[in-house]
Amino acid sequence: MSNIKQAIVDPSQVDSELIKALEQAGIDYVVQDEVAIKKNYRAGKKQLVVVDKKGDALDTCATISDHYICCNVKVLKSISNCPYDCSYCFLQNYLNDGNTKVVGNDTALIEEVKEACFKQPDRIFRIGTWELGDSLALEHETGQAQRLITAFRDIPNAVLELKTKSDSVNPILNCDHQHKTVVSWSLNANTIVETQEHKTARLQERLIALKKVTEAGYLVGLHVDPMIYFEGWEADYESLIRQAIQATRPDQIAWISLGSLRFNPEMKKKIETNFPASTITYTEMIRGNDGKMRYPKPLRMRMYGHVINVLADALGCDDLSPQTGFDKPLFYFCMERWDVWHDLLGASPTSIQDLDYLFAQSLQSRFFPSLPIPNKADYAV
Amino acid sequence: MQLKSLKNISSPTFFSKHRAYFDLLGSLSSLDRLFGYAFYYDDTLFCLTSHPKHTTSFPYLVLDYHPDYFALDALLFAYSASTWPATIKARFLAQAIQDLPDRHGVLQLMPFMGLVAHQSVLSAYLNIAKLPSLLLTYAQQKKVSYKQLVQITRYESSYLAWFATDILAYIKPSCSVLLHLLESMHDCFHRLGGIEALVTALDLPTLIHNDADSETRLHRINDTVFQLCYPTQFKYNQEVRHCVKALHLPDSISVTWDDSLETKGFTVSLDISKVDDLNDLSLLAAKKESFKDLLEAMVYV
Repeated sequence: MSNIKQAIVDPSQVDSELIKALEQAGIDYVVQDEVAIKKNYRAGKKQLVVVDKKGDALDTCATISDHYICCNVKVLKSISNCPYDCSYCFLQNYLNDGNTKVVGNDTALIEEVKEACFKQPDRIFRIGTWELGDSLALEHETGQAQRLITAFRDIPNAVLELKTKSDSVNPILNCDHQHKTVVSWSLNANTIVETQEHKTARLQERLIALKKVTEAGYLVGLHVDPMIYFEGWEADYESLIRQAIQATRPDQIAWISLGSLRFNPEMKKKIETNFPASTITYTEMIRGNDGKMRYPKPLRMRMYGHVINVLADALGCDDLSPQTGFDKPLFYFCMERWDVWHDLLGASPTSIQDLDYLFAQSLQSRFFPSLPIPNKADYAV
Repeated sequence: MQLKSLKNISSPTFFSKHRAYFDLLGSLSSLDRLFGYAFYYDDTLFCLTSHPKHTTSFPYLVLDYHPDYFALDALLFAYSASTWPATIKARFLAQAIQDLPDRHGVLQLMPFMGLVAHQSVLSAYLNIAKLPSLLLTYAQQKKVSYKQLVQITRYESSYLAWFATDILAYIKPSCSVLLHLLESMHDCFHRLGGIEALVTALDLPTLIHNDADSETRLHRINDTVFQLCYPTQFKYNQEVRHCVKALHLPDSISVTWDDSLETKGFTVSLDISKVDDLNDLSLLAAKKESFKDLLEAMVYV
């Protein structure tokens, strides 16, 4: 359970399914028209604001930069802010309103998703609910993921990704997911979980939850991101990878991503102010071509290389490149340069669209053989 | 601020409770005025601004003021406090917090400085006032802004005290270099685990050797801090430089690369101003294998 103690509900949402979930969770709520903006992102973490869907909720994830390849995943903005308090979280520098807001109108969210997916029926959409919050941290209070899982089951060409640092999986274990939902974890070395990922489920709790959803037949995703440099990182990340692979089944792992710490330059000051005990900003960093601070490339490559070797060993797979076949979990870098891909995996996607296409090929051949074989043109490759 | 009257004064007296404030304002250039400002306190007329020495009688506008603030509001008005540098505002507020009976009174003075009367803003200025005196004075000279000063207050006071006495006292950096040095050394201070380790890693006695001028010292400090703060970039750039040197290229050919190491590859430039220079094209072709080695040096696996 999270620390949410009360909720404010927009009058338009009083009949929504979400209200039933709130009542079941024993959360007191008031119905109120206007909710004052919270300037501090931490101030809004203990109170839930149930809002109507306003404008488009479906978007494409994060930064699009010519220099760094991203995976072109779509994001459904169903939640804003998060009960957790990770030192490196970009929300502390991003949110204009610190209220934890959840869209109560699931039906409208689903309608928007369906409209987009039905317009391009030959394309496989990956859609995550994690861009501005955690997909499962508030599941006990909102029940939103359960309703989305059920809805995505009936959209043939869409896969829902629920990404979390929680262990709140019990409410979704009995959902009829039909393998159309990937439950994924943001994982990190135990030292980082203990010192930087405040209020989240501990690593062992996350791994137990990973085991539970694997046994419930879900596809799973593993995101080792952001990798953070510290004394003894090699052993800690190796241990993480081996435990994570052991907690699940390789044939149910849809994808595995790797990324390293990166943030906008102004975030450094925010982190140092909000988390004075954290030392993550003191490691050597450079300013990348996308304007973000990150470790220098030789250090990133050393860290990635180590994890890739351990992963290959743990999965019993010599070659992790997604370009050499789909008989393995799709491995990818989050926001990395083409030459990092090339030098570590022997090949690189030619573009963001190409990586999107590789995802579609992997999903279709491994999990959805009844769908048509993806066509490059549908992905603008 | 209300004006009460206009008086001609020949022998002005200053208010004793304003002495500390005048000491602060001494660092500001004096204004060339056609009149002065003054105020009445217990039926005695006190000056807020100085008296031109070449005149025996000089016109003074007598200001009204709030009785709880020792006429500090009038003083701020007389000196156009909203135009002051952030360092002076900070010092003034820090003095006022000692002199006035409560924080509320100090907050009421802030609009005279062009500031919002808000607790968080006052706290930020009071933190600025706690910066080491040498650093504050230098920041004022270099016109370091309020926002930049607030960022400096994030650093531990022990680190700032060390920086002021052991580094800043020996160099004269520009505003941007000062801020960069503060940030880089602070990163190293934490990475290495404290001042003692930082002093050792910098080899500080050599850096600030007395026979060097401040420009040479600054140059040495910048180089050493770069090596210490960016060891990966330093190491790999050195390697690339060695590779380029080993190419033995004529002066007309130059090789440049991204020293942040992000962009893979390099650029070869060839200056051609006469026909003979074109011979260098065949030299480039002959060095193809060496250039390949250079590209290999940019693979960091």
